[in-house]
Amino acid sequence: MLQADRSLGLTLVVSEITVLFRRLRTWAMIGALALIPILIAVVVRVSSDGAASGRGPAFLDSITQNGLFVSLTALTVAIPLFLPLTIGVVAGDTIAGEANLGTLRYLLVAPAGRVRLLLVKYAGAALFCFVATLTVVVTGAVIGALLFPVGPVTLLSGDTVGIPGYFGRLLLLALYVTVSLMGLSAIGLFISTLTTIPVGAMAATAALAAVSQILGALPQLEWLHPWLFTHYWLGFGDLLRQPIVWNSFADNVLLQLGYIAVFGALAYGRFSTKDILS
Amino acid sequence: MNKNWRWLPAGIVPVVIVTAAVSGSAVAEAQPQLPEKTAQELLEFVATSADDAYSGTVEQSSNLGLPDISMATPPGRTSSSDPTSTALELLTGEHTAQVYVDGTEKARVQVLDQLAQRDVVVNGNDAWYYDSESNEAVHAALPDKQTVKADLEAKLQEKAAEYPELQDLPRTPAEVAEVFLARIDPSTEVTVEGTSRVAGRSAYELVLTPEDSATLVGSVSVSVDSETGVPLNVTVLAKGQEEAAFSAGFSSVDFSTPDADIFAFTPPAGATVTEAPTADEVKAELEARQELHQAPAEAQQQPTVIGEGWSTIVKLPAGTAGTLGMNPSAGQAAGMGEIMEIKPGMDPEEVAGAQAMLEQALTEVDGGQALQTSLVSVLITDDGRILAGAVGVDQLVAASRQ
Repeated sequence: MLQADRSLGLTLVVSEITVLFRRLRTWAMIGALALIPILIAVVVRVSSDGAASGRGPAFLDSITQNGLFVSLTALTVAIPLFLPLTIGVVAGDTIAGEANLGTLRYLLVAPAGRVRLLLVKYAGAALFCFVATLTVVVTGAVIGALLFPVGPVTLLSGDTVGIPGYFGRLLLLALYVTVSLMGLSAIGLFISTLTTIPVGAMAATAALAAVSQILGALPQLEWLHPWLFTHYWLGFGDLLRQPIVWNSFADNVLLQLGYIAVFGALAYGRFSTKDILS
Repeated sequence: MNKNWRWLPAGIVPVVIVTAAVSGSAVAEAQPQLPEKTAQELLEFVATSADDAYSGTVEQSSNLGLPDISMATPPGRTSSSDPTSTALELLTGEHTAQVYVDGTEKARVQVLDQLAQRDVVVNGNDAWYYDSESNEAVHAALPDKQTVKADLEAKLQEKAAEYPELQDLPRTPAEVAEVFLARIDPSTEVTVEGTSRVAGRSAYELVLTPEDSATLVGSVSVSVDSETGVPLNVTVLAKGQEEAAFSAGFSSVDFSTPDADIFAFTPPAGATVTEAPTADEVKAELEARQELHQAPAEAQQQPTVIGEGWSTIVKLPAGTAGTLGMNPSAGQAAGMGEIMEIKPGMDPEEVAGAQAMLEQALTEVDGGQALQTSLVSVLITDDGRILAGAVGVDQLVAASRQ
């Protein structure tokens, strides 16, 4: 019985992921994310005079010396707005989208169970977070390597790592950003159980990410900052130090787990008591 | 069917999280039981810890009543790289640093900014400063410690022959502690006030309280690790304030010897590397500048010290700003350009921003402009003298008239 349960769960996850990545909308969002590093790299390449040191997003002035920095600049630009926007779309659509299409009923008629459906939907959203982040990082590295010279990378501490070591760190970085977005995904999942209008859930999730970042910029609310899910979003720089500072990674994981627990429980409460009418 | 119990987890989870967060900090504040130590024993203990090796994370915060300039700069960027704003930036707001220490010869401090970092590395006779944002490295050759020590010993021996009372100079940590206490006694009360927990370690609280009504400093407390004697935390309280005016301490610490690689620094390819002038060169440069500005008599050029102990006031003579490489405008009010060093190639917007910041911090007082913080006051008189001390502005004004 347990064996059968497990294989059913796995089948559901696989089918959810296939559906998600067969959608044109998903690929449009991934394409838009890939455009960020391409745009940055092309603009820096075309304007040959080079940015004045200390202007623009972080790492921008390092790009002309080492193309691998395109990934980092693109990530700094994508984290506050573009990534939360796409996560909002995917997470907000999870339950509300099915309800809107009238397919939620049929999903629950199959012996899937509501809890399992929530978990499967969340797994799909989490995978999208990783793919989206990796898209920005990998496209950045590729376009940077095509347009600029590439070499050993200077870390924030002034130490230098070789290209293999740098790619190890980029992978860690993608993992860090993915973890950072897990809290937001859980919030999106909960909002999605509240409504049958997916656009509303998407907009609300993306708006919450913006609100949290605004609150995080207000010095008067300093006591609140460590509790905001956006607090460690730009902390990925700690992985670019030598030796790596793990504090923000650990704190971030703890914070995001807290958000997953709270909003997971809320989503469970709402979804398991809800009358499914469509 | 009543399904409401399914909301139960949504109610329980937040409660569990908040309880865990609150009880976590309550455990951290519990006071450890340690064998009692007198102030002198504790000072001896600190003096023996100089050769220790450790690493850890230091959190520093200050609340000096200065405007927080970190908020005025865009996220992901620290403020400009000129020395004045860097110093002001480090004095305001909060900072986190990674610290690695191996004895007295090797040390590395990494100030962790968001997406940027500043490093100071000392390894034997080499010292490096590296700023990731400007990609600039500065190298300084430190004088050889053995030679300096030998020179000093030789000079001491020479003097000791002339002055017999110098022969009983403090040598051991115990003697150093005794001399320190004897010296500090009339102006300061030194006490051990219980224990505390810092970075998960038990520590003694050494408290220095000035017995001087003029100073702004309320008390200085140092948390000393109970096993190694390494100071783990320093807190300075201003008079009449509950919140610490300045505090720096370990949030985590590890007493194993750091990896030797950490202290080996080579500037990265593409970085601008400059060689810092040696002490002799700085002296020569300052002398040359003094001549250039036709400085008045030698005696007036020396900084003077007024008062003693905690309420000491340092007075820099007129034209100091000029000799420090800025535009002297004798008789004029000290403009911002004189206080701040404006280098060619600096971003004009940054200069304007930093000047506005300084202007915001300065207040107009009788006979000049003053910078008042909760611990230190600085007075720039209209004739270009600079007075500074851990006292109120009114006392600086009074001292400027003497």
